[in-house]
Amino acid sequence: MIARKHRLRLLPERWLRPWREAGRFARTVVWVGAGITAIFVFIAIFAPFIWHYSGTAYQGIPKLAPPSGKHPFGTTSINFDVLARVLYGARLALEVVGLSVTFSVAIGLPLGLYAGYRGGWQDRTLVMVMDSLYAFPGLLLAIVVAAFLGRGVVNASVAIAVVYIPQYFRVIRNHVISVREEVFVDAARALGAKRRTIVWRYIFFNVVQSIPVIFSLNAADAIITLAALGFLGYGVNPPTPEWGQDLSRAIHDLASGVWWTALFPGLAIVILTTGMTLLGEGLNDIVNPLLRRVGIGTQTPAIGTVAQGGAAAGETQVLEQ
Amino acid sequence: MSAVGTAPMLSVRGVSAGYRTPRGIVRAVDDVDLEIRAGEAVGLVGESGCGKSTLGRAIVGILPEGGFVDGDVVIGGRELSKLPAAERRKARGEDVALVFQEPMTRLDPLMRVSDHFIEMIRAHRPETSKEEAREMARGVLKSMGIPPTRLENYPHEFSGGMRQRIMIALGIVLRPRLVIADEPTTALDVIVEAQILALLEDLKNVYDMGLLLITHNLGIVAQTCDRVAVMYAGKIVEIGTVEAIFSAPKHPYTQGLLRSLIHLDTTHLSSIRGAPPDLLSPPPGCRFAPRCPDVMPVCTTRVPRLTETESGQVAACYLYPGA
Amino acid sequence: MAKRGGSLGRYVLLRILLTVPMVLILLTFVFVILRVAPGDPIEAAYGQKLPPAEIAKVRHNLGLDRPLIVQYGAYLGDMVHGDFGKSVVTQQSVGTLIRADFPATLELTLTAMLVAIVVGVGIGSLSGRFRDTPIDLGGRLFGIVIYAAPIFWLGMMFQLLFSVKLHIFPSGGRTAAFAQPHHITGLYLLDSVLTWNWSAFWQTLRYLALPAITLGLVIGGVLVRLVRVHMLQTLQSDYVEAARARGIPEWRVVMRHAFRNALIPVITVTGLQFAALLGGAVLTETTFTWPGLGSQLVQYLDSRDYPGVQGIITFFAILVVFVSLLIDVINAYVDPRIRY
Repeated sequence: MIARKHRLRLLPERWLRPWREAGRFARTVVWVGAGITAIFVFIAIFAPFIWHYSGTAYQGIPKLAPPSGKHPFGTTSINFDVLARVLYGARLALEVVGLSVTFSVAIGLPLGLYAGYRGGWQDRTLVMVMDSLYAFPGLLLAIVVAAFLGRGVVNASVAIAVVYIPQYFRVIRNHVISVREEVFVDAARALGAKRRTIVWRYIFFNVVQSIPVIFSLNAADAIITLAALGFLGYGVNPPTPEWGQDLSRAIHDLASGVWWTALFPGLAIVILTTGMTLLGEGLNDIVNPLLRRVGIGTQTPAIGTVAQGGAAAGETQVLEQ
Repeated sequence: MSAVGTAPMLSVRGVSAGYRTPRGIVRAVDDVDLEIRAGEAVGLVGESGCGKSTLGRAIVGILPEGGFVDGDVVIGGRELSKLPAAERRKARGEDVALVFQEPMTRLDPLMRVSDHFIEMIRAHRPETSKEEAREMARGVLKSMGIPPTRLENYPHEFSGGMRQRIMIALGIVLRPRLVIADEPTTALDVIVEAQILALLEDLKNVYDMGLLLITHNLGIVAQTCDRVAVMYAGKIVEIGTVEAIFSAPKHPYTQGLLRSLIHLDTTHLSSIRGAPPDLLSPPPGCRFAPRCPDVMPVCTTRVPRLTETESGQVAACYLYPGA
Repeated sequence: MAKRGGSLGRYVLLRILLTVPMVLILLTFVFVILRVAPGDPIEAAYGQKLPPAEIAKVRHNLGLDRPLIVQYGAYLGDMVHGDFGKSVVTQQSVGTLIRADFPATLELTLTAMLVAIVVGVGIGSLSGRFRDTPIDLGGRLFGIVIYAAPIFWLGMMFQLLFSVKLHIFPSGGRTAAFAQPHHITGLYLLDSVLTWNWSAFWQTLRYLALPAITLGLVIGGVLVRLVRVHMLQTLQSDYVEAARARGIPEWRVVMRHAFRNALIPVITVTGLQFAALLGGAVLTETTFTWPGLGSQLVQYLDSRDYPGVQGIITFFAILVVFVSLLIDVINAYVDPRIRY
């Protein structure tokens, strides 16, 4: 098959070209984002080697001690070391992010592929259901699901995953539809490729490149959603270190002027989320040449609708080959 | 043709223009001279990417971000680059109008046609009342063949040809001395094309405006223009009257360009071999040398200048003495 | 003009009809999540507290012993009549409760939306206009970092700074105990204006400031990025270039052509953000002990009061659909290209 050989040779080149053509700014953004994310992954894995207190240790630790050499981030009202809570919190956050994004991709991607390729009433029904789901406030959805499932790592992950399924569905479906119309799929069909071969070899590879962008933006979102669940008491079971839960406890310390229990877990969330957002936005700028080549479409690459931005990016990629 | 005066109404001297890109500076227009007299139509032809659109924008002074213009543009005796920014802004629309290639996207979709006219007229003549501006708009629209009753419609309610007429009407409502039309009919069908070209010709004849018609279509140049300037890779290589250029082209590029035209009696297609040079690093001598059938050693080292080959015809080629 | 008004009216009518299936899907969705989800609401609420016979009686009274499909039909029927059901725990009508608590949430979300629009459109358009300058960098950074901050944490930091340290704003509650305005709409700001009660107005504003700014800033962060991208797009558009070529003054090109066109998609997303605003309101209300529907929802969730949760969630769902309808109508009014 000529087409296939052609493609295998072109694939890496096509993926690298946008990166090489991207401006220095976009690349710096990606590196900073990737760096921050990498630091948190490192912390999550090596937390026990970084700090000698564990997240749940309380013996010999004073109550509400301000930051000092012994406890650089201070201690909490129930004798936890804040630095240890923050470090171990990264572990849980990344665990839940990984799980929830896996869940939503695992459901959204096949559904999107199916609806996009199948078309017809199956497509219309799925689109309508997903759009309605998408219109509903995501955080409320996660809160309700989490409250009913009860606390726990897997439950929280499921609750968060539900929010993102429509997003993956939409991106994938729109992408499939645009790719399906492309000439090269017709060409492959004319060459006698089987239907399934077409889906997997062509559509899948074209679709998959918009995933990293949504992935990192959703991961950032998931961190905040997890913290929100924890803050409202629907996250994981105490005393598992989790930033949102720690913040809900810290709110009672504020009145007496205790700032360290609130500041540090929040900063951890802000920094990690910023890192992941930078990574996602940077990748989006690179994959999606909207700002370099003007007038591609009127779709809005913003949060939530990054989806279409990604899809538009894919379209131009396809056209380029 | 008494309308063709002697003093040039547009005079472009040593103009270079281009863009700063991540890979370096692209000189899309390199040291170009051109003159247009009142009531005269000049066609600027060349293949895509030769810099003809950039020259049009450079004259008006609206290059996109990262663009630059050097050299002198003199319209009606005023040198635009020496004017303060506000005066230069006013010159756009009052002295020179630019008509674009794609009329579909050139009108603000949220504004009525009347609002475009009111904005345009009052930006230049603040003392005009809205009703006066509307009256002016009705008049000029009518002369363009648009019923004045449609003044309050939105752009999306018009066809492409009508929008192009509206664009031209907007351009000429203040009676500029010069109209630059950049591929004004490329996006339109053949019948509408003929109508638009007839309109442009009328402007020239009735209002004594100068017209710079930028196009890759030699046919419409032959039909509309008095003189032709041929552009290749950022430089003007030949200028002459329409008759002279079409009957006796001097520059090998012009010759090749005319040979590639398709006539009724065309039996085989002819084209110029090779591709235009990369403007990031153009060849040192004549830019056409790498593709030229008549190339000589001198062509690859020195840049030829425009010299008179016959009365009223100049070409930049070492085949002719004086270059 | 008459012609335009007519087609707009038809568009609005069509758009209203289109909301019916959307509401239906959302209601079904709420029902599925809350009724078909594992767990029995009555057990959850009374499990340990009442003997089995009593539980059966409560269940029967609430109609929860009927088949699911019948319950579903009854639920939809109630909704048509504007009946949001009854709380299991307090036996209170959820509709009454919504009428009492919704004004507080509405006041918070509307003020927050105002903050969000001012911040988002202001910073976003400056950022887009002055692309790649320090202004742009600052705007983009603000957008990203503010979006990265959890609402409740931002709220806590504001409380710490402005309430605990500086004593400028109160840290929670809706208004001072003595300063409640006479109840007309339930929106305290509006009520105090209507009754010329300026001290109540001032107090309400003081209490409203921190929650509204917190919520508004976070939503504003989203708008910053959006407005910026659309400004970039419209500034490079053909009609902006054409306007420049006509010698229109630059400020007018930016404001009238680029900015106005950039706002069209922003209206749509602002509508979508209203949904996020409701979610954020739950967190903001919890952080600032704001007595609105969000706080009430958390209370219901904590007492496992399924019908109560269902009532509030249904109300939110209808609100979301209503807002999206409103946004579409505004869009159709602003953008002459949108007509069915």
